[in-house]
Amino acid sequence: MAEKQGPEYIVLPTLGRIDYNWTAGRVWSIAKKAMRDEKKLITTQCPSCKTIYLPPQPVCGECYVFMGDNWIELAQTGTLLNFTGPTAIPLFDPAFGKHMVDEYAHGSIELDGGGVVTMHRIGEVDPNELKVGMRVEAVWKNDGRVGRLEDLMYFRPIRE
Amino acid sequence: MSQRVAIVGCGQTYHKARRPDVNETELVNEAVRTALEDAQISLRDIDSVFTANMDGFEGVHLSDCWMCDGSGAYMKPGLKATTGGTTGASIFFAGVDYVASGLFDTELVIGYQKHEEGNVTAGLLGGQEQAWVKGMMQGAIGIFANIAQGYMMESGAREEHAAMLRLKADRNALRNPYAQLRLNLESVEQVLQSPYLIPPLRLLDMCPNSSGAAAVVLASEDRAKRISGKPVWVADTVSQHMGWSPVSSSMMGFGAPGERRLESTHTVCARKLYRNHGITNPRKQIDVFEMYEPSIWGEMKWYEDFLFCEKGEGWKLVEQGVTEIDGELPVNPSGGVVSTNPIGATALLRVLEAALQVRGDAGEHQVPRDVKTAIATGWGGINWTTMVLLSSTL
Amino acid sequence: MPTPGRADIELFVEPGKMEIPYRYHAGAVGSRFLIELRDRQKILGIRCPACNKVYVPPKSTCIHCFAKLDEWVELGNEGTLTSFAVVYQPEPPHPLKPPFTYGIVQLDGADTGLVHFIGEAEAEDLRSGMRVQAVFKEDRSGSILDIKYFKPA
Repeated sequence: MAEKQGPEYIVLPTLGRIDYNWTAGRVWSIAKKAMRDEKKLITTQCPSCKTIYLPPQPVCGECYVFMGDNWIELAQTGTLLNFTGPTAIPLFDPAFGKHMVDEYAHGSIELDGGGVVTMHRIGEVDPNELKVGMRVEAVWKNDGRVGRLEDLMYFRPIRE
Repeated sequence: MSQRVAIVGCGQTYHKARRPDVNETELVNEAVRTALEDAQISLRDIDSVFTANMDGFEGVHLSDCWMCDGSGAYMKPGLKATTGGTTGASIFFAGVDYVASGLFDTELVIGYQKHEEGNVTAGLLGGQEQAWVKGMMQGAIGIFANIAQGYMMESGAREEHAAMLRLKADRNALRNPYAQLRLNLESVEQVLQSPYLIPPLRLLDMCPNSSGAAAVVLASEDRAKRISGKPVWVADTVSQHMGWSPVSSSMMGFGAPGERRLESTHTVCARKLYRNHGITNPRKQIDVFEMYEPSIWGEMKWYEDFLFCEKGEGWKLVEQGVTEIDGELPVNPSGGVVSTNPIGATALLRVLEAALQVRGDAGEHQVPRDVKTAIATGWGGINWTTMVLLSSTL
Repeated sequence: MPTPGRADIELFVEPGKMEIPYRYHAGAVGSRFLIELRDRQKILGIRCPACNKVYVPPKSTCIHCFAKLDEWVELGNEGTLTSFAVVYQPEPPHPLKPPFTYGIVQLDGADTGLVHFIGEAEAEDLRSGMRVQAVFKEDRSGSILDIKYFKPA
């Protein structure tokens, strides 16, 4: 038996598991229905300062004006503003209870006409090809959409 | 008429990746005893105890209750804060306000975190809003990867600049026996070997997760003058929170062309603080700046946000050595957050380190000048900045 | 403005989970207590030099005096049941299936109550003030559950 090195310290592993139900609320439910049923991104716009909020919100933070009924439809195409490479190391995802690697590059896209989707997956491309200013288009799941942003699987470069 | 408030005692643990020899209460107790000793008072002289921690990251609910014997809070009034990265600053602000109000005279303010007991990325991701970001967000690492990429594209900064700044942090940490990461980094090339987490962000560009605690003793003017020969006066506190989108992209280091470009919360706070105190040239008028920088890229960009230089010029300050320990405006002589990061304590550590500088008590990492004013900042997701102005005189 | 509570549109409610692994560190003092349970089936307390209170489980600082604690005391396995409660409603973290009984036991020589299970007794037969004694498990791992339960002595 090996000689004990130093004092023994007890460490007790436990799993913290919390199951919950998340209510999207009125405004987000409207947006989620459009994603699930129509493969569309819709969102709210402040009637006063014209800021396009993404995700949608009922009240404009700057103007404190109710905008929960002021919907606009966003474009399916846009321009790549910024991007990062795929995750090089696994990160722990509590939704799955384990470490995961995301093989996609992520980027922020300004949709034509306004609205910025931040840190969304960029697919069907070699990450080394990515350039700021690239034109990209949304690629939605054909079935199995549930009304979450993942229904929009990724953006891909528009190849003429 | 509100009371003037001073810091009259400071204590921190030697921050480590792992402290299996103590449970969390004992960790907190180490910092508390050190702070009381530094102030040369006993727990009996403390009339309230304010504690701060991110419980969710460690799996302990209402950790302030568990800390009761170690923190000295038993049968004393106080508050607890849990506000992300700003946790240590929030509790400091609360503490200052209560002393300023006249409700308490001598207070203990504590921040702590025992990271090895939990998982921060999981805690952050778990706390993300369900439908919109949970699948996409990569936690703080993702945010700073975006900041790094955006900043390089917009300003012309290169990865070498981040490496140079990381070397500064390590040089300073080597002079600070309390810092966790004291790596003896030798060259830019060595830093650029550090593996990518999410390109272009490298492992060395990000802060560690430390187990540690910090405590400060606050006192009202009369008490402060009786307790301490070198009270550090809290001249001002400023806080700004901007909530969720549409500032997401500007927070991430670039402004979307079609989007309304909003000033970062750092700039809003800095303008207010500087205006209220006649600071028109922070590089000349501030002696030390302890900045809350979860990533070295954050520090570089935020030189601009805190108005040390024009937009796009932060990397030039790195090249010129402006923020070295003996530079025009030393930033993070303690080694900063990239060297030490017990989240619940980190923002409080910025204040504590700034206070040590004002007192002239920072030992080997004391900046070589007479320190009259110091600023300590805090930052948290999402879009929350705190700034504290400390002064050697009333 | 919409009327609160009115479901005139489809409202999304999504189940989710957060599953995060944690590692509780007992520290030097806590570890010694747990190791003594595991290796020698002994329950140790710690005494405050200032106020003489004996804490079990042991801790490092006296909550009343703020004194540092390092005077270990070996307590027996017997004590007094001060209070108890029977659990009927199952909850996920429970280590036992209901019905089971929690009790607060003040061990002889200790000033604090120890929460644990009460076994080998029907709830109707339990009384505050009863004498109880610890029963240890065969397989012990350095956990408070190395004590299986306290039974009427």
